[in-house]
Amino acid sequence: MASERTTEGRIDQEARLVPGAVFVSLSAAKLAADVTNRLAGGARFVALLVDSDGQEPVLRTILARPVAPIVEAAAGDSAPPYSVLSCPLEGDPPGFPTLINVTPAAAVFEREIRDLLGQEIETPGPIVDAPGAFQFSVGPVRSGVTEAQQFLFEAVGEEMLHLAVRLYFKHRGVEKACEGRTPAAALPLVERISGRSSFAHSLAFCQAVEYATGSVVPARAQYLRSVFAELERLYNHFSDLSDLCESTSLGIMNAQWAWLKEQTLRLHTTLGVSRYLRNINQIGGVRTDLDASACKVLEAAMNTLEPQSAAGARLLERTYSHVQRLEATGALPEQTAREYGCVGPVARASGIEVDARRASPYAAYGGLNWRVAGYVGGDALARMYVRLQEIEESFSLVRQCSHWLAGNPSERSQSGVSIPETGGMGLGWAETPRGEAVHLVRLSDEGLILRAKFRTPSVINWQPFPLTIEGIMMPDFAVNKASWNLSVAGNDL
Amino acid sequence: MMNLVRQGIRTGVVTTRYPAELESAPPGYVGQIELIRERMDPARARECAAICPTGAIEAFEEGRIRLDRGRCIYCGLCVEHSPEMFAASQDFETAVTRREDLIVISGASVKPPPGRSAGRSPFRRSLHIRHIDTGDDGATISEAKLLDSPAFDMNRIGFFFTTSPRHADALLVTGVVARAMERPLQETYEAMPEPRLIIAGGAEAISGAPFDASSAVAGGAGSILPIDIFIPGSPPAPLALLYGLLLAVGRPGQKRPEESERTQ
Repeated sequence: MASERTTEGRIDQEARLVPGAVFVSLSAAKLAADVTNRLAGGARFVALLVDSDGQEPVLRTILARPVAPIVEAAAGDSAPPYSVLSCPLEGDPPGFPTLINVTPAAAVFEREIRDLLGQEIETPGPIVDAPGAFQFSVGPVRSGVTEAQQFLFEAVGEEMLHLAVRLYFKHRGVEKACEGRTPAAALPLVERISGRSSFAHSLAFCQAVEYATGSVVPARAQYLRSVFAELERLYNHFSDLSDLCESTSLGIMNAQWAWLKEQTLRLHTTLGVSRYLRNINQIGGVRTDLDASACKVLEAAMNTLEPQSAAGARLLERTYSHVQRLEATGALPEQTAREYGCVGPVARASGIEVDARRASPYAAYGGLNWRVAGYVGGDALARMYVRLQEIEESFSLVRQCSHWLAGNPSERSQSGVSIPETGGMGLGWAETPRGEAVHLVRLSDEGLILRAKFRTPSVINWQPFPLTIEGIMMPDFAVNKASWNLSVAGNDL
Repeated sequence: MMNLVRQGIRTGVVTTRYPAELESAPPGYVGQIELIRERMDPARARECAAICPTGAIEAFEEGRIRLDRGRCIYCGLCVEHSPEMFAASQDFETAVTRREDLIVISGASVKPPPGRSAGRSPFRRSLHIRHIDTGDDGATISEAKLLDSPAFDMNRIGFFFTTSPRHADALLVTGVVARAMERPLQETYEAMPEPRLIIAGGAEAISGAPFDASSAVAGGAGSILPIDIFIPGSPPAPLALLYGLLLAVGRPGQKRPEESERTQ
């Protein structure tokens, strides 16, 4: 269920620069035991990447520290929310300690690392061959206007036995393409990691570089960042609900949510920014501002959209034919979601209270009054309810930020300080509409990117997705998939 | 059920009347970047070329600018840096039929580019479109899907998305072409019966920008297939996509009456 509302706090007018991560060095031999201990203590696995320290390859493990209970958080908990464990790799070719036995979430990252190091990757075994079953593949070119992805099904009649998902058809080499660029020149690439989360990814990236370079972001920019991040969440959830209604053939509601989405995108251009909230974030702040009249436009838009959205939510909840398709479909058990380090609405629908805006407040979230959405059961219906709750909270957050912006006109919206060209490594994060994104950026002494790791929420959440289809009926596959609404571009990078 | 119908009726008609009636973009919409004079300070011109993240700007000949709209992702850095030369316009009817019509040179006189018919379009009214994602970040897919939604309702104009390339008149390619999608793209194209059109939707599909330097990317769709319609933008807004489709069937938008004469 949704958590309690926190008491209203205030963020510092000049935010303290709390480093995003604790950087720890240890030997490869100790890594597995160390990670096991931390996970047992409540930490969450975030990512694994191979990097270099300039000479030798280095393995970095990123973990999110245990989420403090609400009481501690209100007391001004300022410890860095992430840990980056680095261990040098030795040998030629470099061997590295596997973490698959510690957490299944490490699997996809280890495959990537082996690929980057030029090592053998175990290809998955053949699909289990049950009697009477037939196997077929769908994709990468699929019916409808959708992303390129391939599904390898095994089914008996209408009942699905097994699913293997083949992704990476869309691999573009985004991380590599950022190397050698200045952070400013890399921003357009970062905004195209996953096109509907442009703002959240650019936010995580800017924060990583801001930590690496010691740049402080003024309060007005933080509130502006929160406004745009919540507008992004709103149009994405409208879009996800529209897709969900399309999958259950609820035509009228498909149209209603799509109209809400289009109205929100038009609102962005009326506020003077791009429809997909691109070209707003910059290192040290934001490129645009919302003056008093823009805040009025924003509030008027919220007053128009919120009743439409609430009416749509009521209709969805009461349409039995729709609800029945979602109930018990694609249930993701809480234990599985924890093991895989799931994030976003998918995790929250399975009963895990994980939200980067609460666990590790960034932008203006530390000072705003809002609830983390949540549900139990982890089925498609729970994922729908979580999105409906988050829509309500996002309207409230936009209003709170707009109120602050209108009431604090004289604050500046960008740091105005020239970003020092220094080396360093920084970690940034943001709660995208699909879940937590974590960016690790390492800069040269001239301020050029040497290594960038973009851990999107989808690369984590794709891993347990195939587990949730077993035993469900083929027509419900599209319904389940729409309820997860994972990004392929964000996975394939 | 009746509640749903009532909700639908209460919402009313939200569909744009474009192209029958004039449609203007909301104030902050950037349709394309214009060059508003012939020359600028040469040092500043070189700076602009350097800050452009996709290499769409070339400074030449002591202060003249060559802008490639097929590489432009509308980040607006050039407009911020040098508003004396670069301005954002709200024109969304920006699709063209030839790649060279996306290149603009400062000071050169602008002729409206020719419409689809060098002769006639093989398609006059209705178009069945197969979409293929070859490496889209997701935003252009999002804009293309909105064409089916009530806001734009492209079905009323005779445009439909079709699920099979066998039934398709046109292939809408969005995104850069990731290497792993080269063969699926080729096979989808070969499965289409003639006559067929290829539409490149967005800067990524036209030129591969901003990822064309990546070894995992083959470039834009133009490096693999012959493109008939180029729709710039990143992503191109639904109205820009809609104009591109109108161009494909030789139908005029709202701003170029001379095209309607050519296609009669």
